[in-house]
Amino acid sequence: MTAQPAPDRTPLTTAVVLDAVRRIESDGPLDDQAALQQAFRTRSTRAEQIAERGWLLGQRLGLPAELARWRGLGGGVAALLAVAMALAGLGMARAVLGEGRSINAIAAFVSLLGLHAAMLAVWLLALLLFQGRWAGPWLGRLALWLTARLPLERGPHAPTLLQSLTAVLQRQRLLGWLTGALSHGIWSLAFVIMLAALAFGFAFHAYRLTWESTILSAAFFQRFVQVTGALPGLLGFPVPDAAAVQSVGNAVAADTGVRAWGDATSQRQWAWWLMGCVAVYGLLPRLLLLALSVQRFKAGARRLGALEMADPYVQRLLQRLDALEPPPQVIDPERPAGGADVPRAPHAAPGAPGSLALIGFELPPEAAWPPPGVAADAVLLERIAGSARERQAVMARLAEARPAALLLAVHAASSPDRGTARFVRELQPHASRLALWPMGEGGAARWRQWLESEGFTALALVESTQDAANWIASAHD
Amino acid sequence: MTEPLRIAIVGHTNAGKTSLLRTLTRKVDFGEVSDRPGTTRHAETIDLRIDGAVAVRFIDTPGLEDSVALLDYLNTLAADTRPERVRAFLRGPEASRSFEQEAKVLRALTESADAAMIVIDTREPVLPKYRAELEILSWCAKPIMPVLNFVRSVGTRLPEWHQALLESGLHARVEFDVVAPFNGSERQLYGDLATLLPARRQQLAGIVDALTLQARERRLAACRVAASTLIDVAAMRRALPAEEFADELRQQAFVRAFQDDVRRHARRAVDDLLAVFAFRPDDAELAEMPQLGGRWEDDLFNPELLKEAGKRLGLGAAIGAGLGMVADVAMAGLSLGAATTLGATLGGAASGGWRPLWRKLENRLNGVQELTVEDPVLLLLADHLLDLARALEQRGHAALHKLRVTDEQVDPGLDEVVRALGPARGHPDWERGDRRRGAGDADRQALESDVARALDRRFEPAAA
Repeated sequence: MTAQPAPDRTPLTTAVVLDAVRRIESDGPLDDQAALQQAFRTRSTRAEQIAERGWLLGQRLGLPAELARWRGLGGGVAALLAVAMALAGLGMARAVLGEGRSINAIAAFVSLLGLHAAMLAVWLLALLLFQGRWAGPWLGRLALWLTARLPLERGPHAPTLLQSLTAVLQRQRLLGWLTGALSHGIWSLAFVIMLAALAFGFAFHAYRLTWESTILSAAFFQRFVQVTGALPGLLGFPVPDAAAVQSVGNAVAADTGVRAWGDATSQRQWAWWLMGCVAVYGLLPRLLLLALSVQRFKAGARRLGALEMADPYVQRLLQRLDALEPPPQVIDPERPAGGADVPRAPHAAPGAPGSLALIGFELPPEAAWPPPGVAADAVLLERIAGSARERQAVMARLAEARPAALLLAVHAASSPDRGTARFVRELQPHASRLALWPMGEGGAARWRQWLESEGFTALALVESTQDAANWIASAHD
Repeated sequence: MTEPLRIAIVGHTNAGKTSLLRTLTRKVDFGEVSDRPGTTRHAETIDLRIDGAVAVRFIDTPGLEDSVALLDYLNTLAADTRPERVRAFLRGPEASRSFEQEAKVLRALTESADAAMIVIDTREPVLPKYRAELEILSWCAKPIMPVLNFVRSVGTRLPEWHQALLESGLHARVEFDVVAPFNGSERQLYGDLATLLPARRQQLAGIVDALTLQARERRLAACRVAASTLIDVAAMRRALPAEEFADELRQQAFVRAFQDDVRRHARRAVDDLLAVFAFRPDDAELAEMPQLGGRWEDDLFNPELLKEAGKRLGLGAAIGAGLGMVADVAMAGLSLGAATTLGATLGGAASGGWRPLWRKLENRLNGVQELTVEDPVLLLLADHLLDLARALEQRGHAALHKLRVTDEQVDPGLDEVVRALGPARGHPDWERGDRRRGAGDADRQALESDVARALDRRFEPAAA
């Protein structure tokens, strides 16, 4: 595989790519064997391995490249929207231009800053009311949507990636800050454009800035200009004084044109006041909020990254990664034919015909002994827990009693083991007929299997009291 | 990096050594488990990995079956100390002849293990062969942790075993049902091991912490599986034109298809839960769980159970009779545009836009009936899924707590979960299905987290 020019891999891009891969996989699993193996080999912790797998799959699908494309495209989209916003503002301002070169200064103020002020108020309100859950201003969302949707070299997974981006950011309560940053950025740019247009206009055209009103008094406008001009005034913007306001008021309605024109100084003051207001009430807050949004977004994006492990999708991947671990290793293999070789004692002389020994071996304490209804006439009736001394004692007594038949009762529910096998082998020389009786519920089949696998072909298996009685009786025939 | 802890798992044949390892390593396919005697005849290592790194290396050993004779034989060997005798035995000829299998156990313990866990089937009487086993193992001079298995079985002889362990000088022990371990007993197992291996205390504490975290993550993931399915079912909405609804046959077919869809969601949840707990659907240890038999899915529409569940939710006997609609058996658990869903739609409109509400009004005007699931079905489903998740977390055997959903057993605390599902009713698009990306919606994910948290609060059965 050739190494692609790796687009920056930040916690945010990783999270978005992982989310998008997951969305794509919800339609059906991707062929991830190679990615899983590679992630498994190159990363150490499970969380990193899962992230790496997702990133590798995302790379195959071109998701990081798509994100990088957005980053390039995003600036253009923002600029385009900013021009549109600026044109809208200026257009509105133009709509309130008077006849010819006369500008209604107050109406221009409102149309340049009104929309911006209203949207800013909405933004602040939503920020306070919904905190981080808010998706952000529509302008920012529009920019995001346009960036993802513009058909310029758009990848097939762009819509999914957009969903992922919004989902990831919303989960982290960052979407509002991203769209906010976009929106504030666009507005800032728009105000720069507006200011440039205003400066150009005022620099090379002789405008007549006026105000007019039917019901408001000149004092209102004086006050208005004074209040709005206070902040720009602090920054050095000239503010028209009361006389200047008075001098241009209701200019069109005035009968003589001379007074309305006022002097050139006051006109310059008016122009600076308008530009100062746009800069201070438009550009400045947007720039500050842009900085705030960017800072909050970046801080939040840095906190991102820890993979949520308590997730069914992640748990499945964890198990698949676990399955890649080396399988259990045999360190001490089974060796065939390691059968126990118990020394075979020579067969004892046959005992009296019909004589019976009944031995209970490793029976649980609550088992009835002797078993009712069987072997009342046994020459040897013994029950042992299985210790070495008991075994030897039983052998000695068997050698003495020399029974013709030997019935060995064991606990059916217990597992047959090689200790039992050894005991059976030791018993074999002591009787010509030998039977095994698993007492109690269940397990008889297991004992039968065991007799076969251990090669005890000479042993009979009795499964019930009735069976046992029959087996004992059969000796008499 | 610290060396992994090496633990030999020893014990009599069929005491449950391999089962213990399956449980401890969460690998359902490790080794061979059967009740045939002596299934494991070789020594084998299996690793417990935490975040990819080996934390514990277990050694599975064959059964120590011929202990009485071996102890006798060891006693005949001439050596100064008991560990010396064991080493002499391992060097000697019998280690590859009569006692080949036993030699594997002792070799694993003396040469490649830091400690041993001896698995004891407490249903067995304390026979001399078991005492001999304990004695031989103690000769290896390694710490031994007795793991008492089948402690919850009917025939357990726990007190006798406690006494026997004391007599053998083994004072630490842990009760651990390998098939149905107590909650947290796995962590207790490692915690107690630390008393036997003081030098490894820190390492063991780290393992305990990691296991606790993993268990927590699995449980939360299980809750999310259940939550997502509950949202699917709550969001389900199927429209049927009025004239088709009037035709009884078609109506019944429609209702049946709807119920089948609910069951399909339930089955998907079961598969996902099995996957979360690393089980395969055909696992032998799960075969007896009634939750997996598929029968319970029919319970979801059992009118009797629904009535009881409805009472739990304070709905009285009004199930299926929402707002002037006919209640009959075929409609059990489903409702036609009842007031609750309209209310939920209105509620959902604020966050999800007005389209669902508009479509609903449009359907009303056109006489299209919409079928949705009623709350009692959600309650039953939540209860079933939670029971299943609990059983899987415990790896429970069906025989221990057989699950039958009756009115007493529906957890009343779950109505909180059902109430939390309200917003899903206004979002038919949240139902997951073929080629639908319902699951990706941010609001749905937020609701899924909320519902999962509510389920998590009801997870501990003791809280009920």
